[in-house]
Amino acid sequence: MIFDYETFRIIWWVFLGTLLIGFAVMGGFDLGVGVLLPFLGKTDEERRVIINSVGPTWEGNQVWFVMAGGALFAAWPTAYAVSFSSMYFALLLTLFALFLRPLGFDYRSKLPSQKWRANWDRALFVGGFVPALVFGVAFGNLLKGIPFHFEGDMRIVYFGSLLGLLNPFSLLVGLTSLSMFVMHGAVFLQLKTLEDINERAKKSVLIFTCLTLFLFAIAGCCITFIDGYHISSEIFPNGPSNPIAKSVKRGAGIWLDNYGHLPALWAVPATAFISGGLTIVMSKINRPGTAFVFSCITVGAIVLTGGGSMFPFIVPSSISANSSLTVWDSSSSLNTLNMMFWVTVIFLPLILLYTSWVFRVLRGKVTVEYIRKNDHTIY
Amino acid sequence: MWYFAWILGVLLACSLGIINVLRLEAQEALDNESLMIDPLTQLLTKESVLERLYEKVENSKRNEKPFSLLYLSLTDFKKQHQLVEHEMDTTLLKVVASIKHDIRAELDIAARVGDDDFILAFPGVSLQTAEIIASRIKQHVFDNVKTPNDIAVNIALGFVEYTDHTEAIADEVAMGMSEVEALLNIAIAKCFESTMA
Amino acid sequence: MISDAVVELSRWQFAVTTLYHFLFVPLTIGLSFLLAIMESTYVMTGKEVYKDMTQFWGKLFGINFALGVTTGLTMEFQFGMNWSYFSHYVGDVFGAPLAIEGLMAFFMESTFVGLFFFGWDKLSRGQHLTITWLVALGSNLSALWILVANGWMQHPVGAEFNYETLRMEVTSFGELIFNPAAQVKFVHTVAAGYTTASAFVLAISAFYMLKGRDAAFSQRSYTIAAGFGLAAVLSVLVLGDESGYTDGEVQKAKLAAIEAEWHTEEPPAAFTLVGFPDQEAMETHHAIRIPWVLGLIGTRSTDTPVLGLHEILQNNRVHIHSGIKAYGLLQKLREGDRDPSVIAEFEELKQYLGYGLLLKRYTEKVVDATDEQIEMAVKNSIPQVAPLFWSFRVMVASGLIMLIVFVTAVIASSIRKCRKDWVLKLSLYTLPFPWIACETGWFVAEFGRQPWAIAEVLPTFLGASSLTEWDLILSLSGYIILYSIFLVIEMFLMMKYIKLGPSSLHKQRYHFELDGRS
Repeated sequence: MIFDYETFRIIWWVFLGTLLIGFAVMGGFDLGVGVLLPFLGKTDEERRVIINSVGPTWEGNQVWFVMAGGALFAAWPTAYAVSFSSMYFALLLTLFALFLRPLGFDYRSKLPSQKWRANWDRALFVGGFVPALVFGVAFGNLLKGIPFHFEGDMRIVYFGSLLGLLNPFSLLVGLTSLSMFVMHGAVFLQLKTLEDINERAKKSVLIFTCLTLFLFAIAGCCITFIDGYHISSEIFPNGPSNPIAKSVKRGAGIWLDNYGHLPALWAVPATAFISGGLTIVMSKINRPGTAFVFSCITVGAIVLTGGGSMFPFIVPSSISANSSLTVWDSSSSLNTLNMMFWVTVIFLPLILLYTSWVFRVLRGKVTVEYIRKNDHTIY
Repeated sequence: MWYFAWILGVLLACSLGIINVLRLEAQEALDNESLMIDPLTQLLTKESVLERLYEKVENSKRNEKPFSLLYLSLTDFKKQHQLVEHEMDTTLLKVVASIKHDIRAELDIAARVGDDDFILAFPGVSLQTAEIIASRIKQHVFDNVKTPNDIAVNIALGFVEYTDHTEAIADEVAMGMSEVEALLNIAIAKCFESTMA
Repeated sequence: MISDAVVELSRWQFAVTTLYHFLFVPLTIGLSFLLAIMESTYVMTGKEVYKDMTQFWGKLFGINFALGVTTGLTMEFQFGMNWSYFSHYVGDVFGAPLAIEGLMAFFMESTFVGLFFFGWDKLSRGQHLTITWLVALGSNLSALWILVANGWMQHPVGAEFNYETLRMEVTSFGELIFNPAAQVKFVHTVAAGYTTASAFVLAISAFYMLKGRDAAFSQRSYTIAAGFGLAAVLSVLVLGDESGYTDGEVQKAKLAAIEAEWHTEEPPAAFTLVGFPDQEAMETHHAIRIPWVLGLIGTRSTDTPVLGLHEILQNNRVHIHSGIKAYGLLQKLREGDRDPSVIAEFEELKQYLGYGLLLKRYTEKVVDATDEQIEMAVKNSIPQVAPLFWSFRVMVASGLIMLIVFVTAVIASSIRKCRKDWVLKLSLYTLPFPWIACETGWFVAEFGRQPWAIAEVLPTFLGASSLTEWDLILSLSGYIILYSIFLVIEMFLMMKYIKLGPSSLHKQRYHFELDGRS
């Protein structure tokens, strides 16, 4: 083994964070574009422009989401089991909404009927809106803690409900993530389109970046009031993964403890605000490429703020704090983390390489002429 | 060990698919070579085209799409302007070159039957479209082709459409004539009518 | 204890969503290679018709692929949502191949599939061809990893139970990846995919040829499908045989159930062709048997017996008693007892822990199980025979039918004028058979593993999430309603494009556009 168990666990926390940020950055703008579709596209051709701006790459981007789930399963199987079974209905609704996307993109323009196309446009809107919202709602619930506990044989028992998941703080985080993805989508559209759509996208960038930063700030303030979690017993970072062997303290504002221990951590939320501001500036001066880079940084910083505040907790339990799942006691075995580490180290750079090549091949604006010329081959 | 077998198996299966279709291509190329071609114009001869026409009529019956036949003749033109053999040959070549613009490669059929006569066949084409094509060919040839002594070429043409319920040939077919022969007769007849007009 | 209703509904939901997912996956796996073949021929010969073929069959591929992705998302989520104890108990082992599936296969497949459709004008011929091959490779590698995972469920090698974490943990990834069950299953399943796609292209091309449409296009499609398909169906049958043989070695209860082998016969055992298996009486009524065949095919010898269900049940009874002991020892260990003799005894008996867990269905404590409860556990430690018996035979029959069809198709496509109508009609009517074979095949694979989720390690009922009945009723109904709507839409679009044929490419040279001259 090249590293010890403790180091692998930290590395895998970083990997999972990378994949979640990867999803937010890559898949996020597709979701945002879906939400903006009915508003930024007023005619059928304009809507086709918007759809085809993300058309060729949206599927690859969605894999970041699938991958995050897969990595969670592989590296933190208990966390995967707890979060997915506890947030059952939220995930079910997200899943149903996600169903609409592959069909929406591929089938929408295959028939000329306006009614058919309008319905699929609505479906694409839902397919962007619901996952974007639920992503934040789920994160918010993780920050608050999920009402689950373990029985003696490690069977997971959940005591909440769908309405329980829709508590005010989580909804706030949900709206933040929704706004964040719409901002990101708007910047992408400004990059890929011309004329009217471009103008509308610019306006959306301004609105949604401001909204995102505003909501992010409020959520940040709320963190001081809601309960955070802290491991109060001795930590065995190299020990076997047994989540019920520890004790956990909870209290208001404890999520800010990490910032106390490591003041440099404040740089992360600060970066979010700074790059958010730069996104607006770059968008205004018509440099959408640079704006997009800053938008990615903003998104990444926002997600990282959430994760960094929670470290080392992954899924805290609000009713049985000692059952909370942390980095140290819910990971996979050393063998698995090791093997998966090598696979990731080989394939992730490869993925980044060919993904950027694909985006390079597809660079440039999507124009109405292109739509007309390729009527029967594109989306 | 089965994983290696899979890699080999896939390569084998793909090769099989490719080889199978390349064999088809080779066979078709061979067929085309053994087809009789008119040495002057490189079009099909009468013998070769008849077989093709039978196929096209058969297809038309199955896919319920029409199929049109054009008969072109320059015999009268030759007589009228008293052209010599080699002058006629040159003119014919120019005419063929002009016609090629209106023919779809690998879909339509073109043949030289007799010295100065041609058959063109257009699968999937209806009577109205055949009419358009016919007048276009006539016009193109008239505009672009000149004999060695600079006379514009006027071709005679007749066209007919085959569909499942073409009445015109019903009687002949009932008497035992093939659809192709019946169609040709009509097209030839119409062609001569146009020279009278 | 988890309610029976929740377990049943969870199982129905998993079965429905998986079978539905597998309506679309085999076509993706196989058609991607057919597209690669067509495009390779285009690059090799330069003839436009092959590009048209790649683009037309590619359109159909896209319509199908969309639903493959849609239904695939469900599978990814379902392990965590509905089988949370399973996910905890074996996630250390099971999660890894799924994650590798994502890294190695999904990214490649999904990233390049976009360029396949959108990149014709932006890439050189060679570049686009490479992309098509990578999409095919991606879809097949994706099958590899999920089947490594499923293979582990059938034959859990390379992992051991850890009493400190109360779960299975990996001891050898080599064993996991090279698990014979996984290897055989992978090649068999992808071959089934190749067969499905070939039958699809074959049938539709035959349809066009029967209608005298687009001859050059359909003949070439038919020929490619026939060649590739023959190799595929032969592989599927060979690997089917290999699967049976592997079952005989590592999943004896499944083999015995499939063949309704109630008692161990004098080798070589006879093969029951048809009959009516009776689980209560443990015999098959009105059986038509062929002597020696089962022994010869299943064990590839004349003297190795095929273990009968009766003997298996007796073995299981012994295992269950050992399992009860193992469970008792585990409880001691969980309470903190670290006496070396306890640990040693547990290590010896832990391979039977799964059998002990079978009793959890009847009593939470396991160690207090009555003789009655133990007998019930024994009786239910083998799968139900009749459904397996019949679905297996339907699958094999479908496979043999397809073999005949592909042989005639290859001969017909070779002998030029032998493109007879009866051959074309036969090709056309073959269309449903690969799907019948695929679905019955998966039924055999999964139903034959019951009552286990992980063979001899984790019973199915134990793996389910502790949800309420209403949770399941709502999600199951949601899936059924949405999936049905999607299926109708997909079939509608598919039929529309099939009817149009290559005219849907709007290149002005196919059937519906022959009459348009500007």
